[in-house]
Amino acid sequence: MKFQFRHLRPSETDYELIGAGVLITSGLLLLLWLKMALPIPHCWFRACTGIPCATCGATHSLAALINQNWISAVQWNPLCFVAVIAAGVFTLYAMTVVIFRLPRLRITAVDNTTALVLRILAVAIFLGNWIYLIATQAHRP
Amino acid sequence: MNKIFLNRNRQSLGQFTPEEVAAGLKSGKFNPTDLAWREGMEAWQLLSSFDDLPPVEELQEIMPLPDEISPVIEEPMVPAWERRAEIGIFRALAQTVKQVMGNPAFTFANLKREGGIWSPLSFLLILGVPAFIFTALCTGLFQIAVMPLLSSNPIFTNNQKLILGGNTLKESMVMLAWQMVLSPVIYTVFAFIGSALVHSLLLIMGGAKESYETTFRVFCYTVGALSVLLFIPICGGSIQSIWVLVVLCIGLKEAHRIDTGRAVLTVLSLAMLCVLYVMLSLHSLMPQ
Repeated sequence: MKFQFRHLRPSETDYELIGAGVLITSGLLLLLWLKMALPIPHCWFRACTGIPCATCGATHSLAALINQNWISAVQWNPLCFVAVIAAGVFTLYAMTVVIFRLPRLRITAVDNTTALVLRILAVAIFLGNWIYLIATQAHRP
Repeated sequence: MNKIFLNRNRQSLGQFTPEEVAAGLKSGKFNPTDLAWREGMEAWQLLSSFDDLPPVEELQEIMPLPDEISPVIEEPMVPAWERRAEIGIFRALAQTVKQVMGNPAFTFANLKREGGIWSPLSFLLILGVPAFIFTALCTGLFQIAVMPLLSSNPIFTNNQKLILGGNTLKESMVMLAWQMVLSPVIYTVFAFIGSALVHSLLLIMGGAKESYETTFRVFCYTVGALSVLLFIPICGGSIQSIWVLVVLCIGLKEAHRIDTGRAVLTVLSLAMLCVLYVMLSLHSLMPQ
């Protein structure tokens, strides 16, 4: 896998602008939803089986993050916590390069072995997070 | 004369007249090894193989061709759904989903702007309707599971009970059955109204460089291809919503040849309006 920093070519798609725009809009709408105390969809998987699904606890984790309760945010759903932090870091990077017209980070080549390792790693992290949720949240209300 | 679409390293460079391409080759802006395509061609070819441009010998003096590159690179015309009669329906469906999800910039840069509305609409209906029915069935399963618990179970808030328990179980099931039967009509209306809203916002933002048909085609291929994500239980809908926004931004930018900022502003304004409408509707249902 090779990384490079380069300026955007004329008329090239600005992925940083798109990513930052979508993440900021989604984040603002989610905050507004929580602020207005609108109903949060309940997990039908858990309602039917009693076992938490892979995304259970995500809303609680987000609420804990907003209240700067870091430990609780990790405990509710570690993968959600990491995803939100990663989204925040990406948004910061994207806004910086868009505003100051800086070179963009691009992955130029991913060989098949690296791609396979990354896919296996992603599935393992997803399953690991789910096993953690089942072990810790099965009896939570 | 038809414009020539250029592509380098799977990134669209845009579309140009033969004169612009020839001038670009001489100045070094374009390379003889860039891939090129125009209306009527079966496959992408090296720019150096175009007849009405300066001959290869002259171009090689400016920038020699690497030996390892074959003279013709087979690159399917995109989206593959437009070639379903040739390659088969299932292969065309799978390839189009892969193209839209994996490389939307390339796909929409090379989309025929006015290739008719039946192809994209049929693509949307074939993928969207089963996804819609699957989601409706999951909702029905959830309602069957939770309705009897609503009055007694403390895990549901009063607001959730109000939203879920507004109708009886029988009424909810009848409504779901009607939704499933009418889903092709619902999806068709959704495609026309959704793309009309997007196109209206594009007009307001000064970004509608092509006709409504182009917007419709981008909208249908985007929503249709990403409908497959609805088959992922629980979180499929959330992933699909975010991904649709991203691909729609890229699609409009490439198909209308506008700047990214204008495409982002159009798509996100529409998304905000829709979500705010839903939020206010829900808020009005809740006890104050």
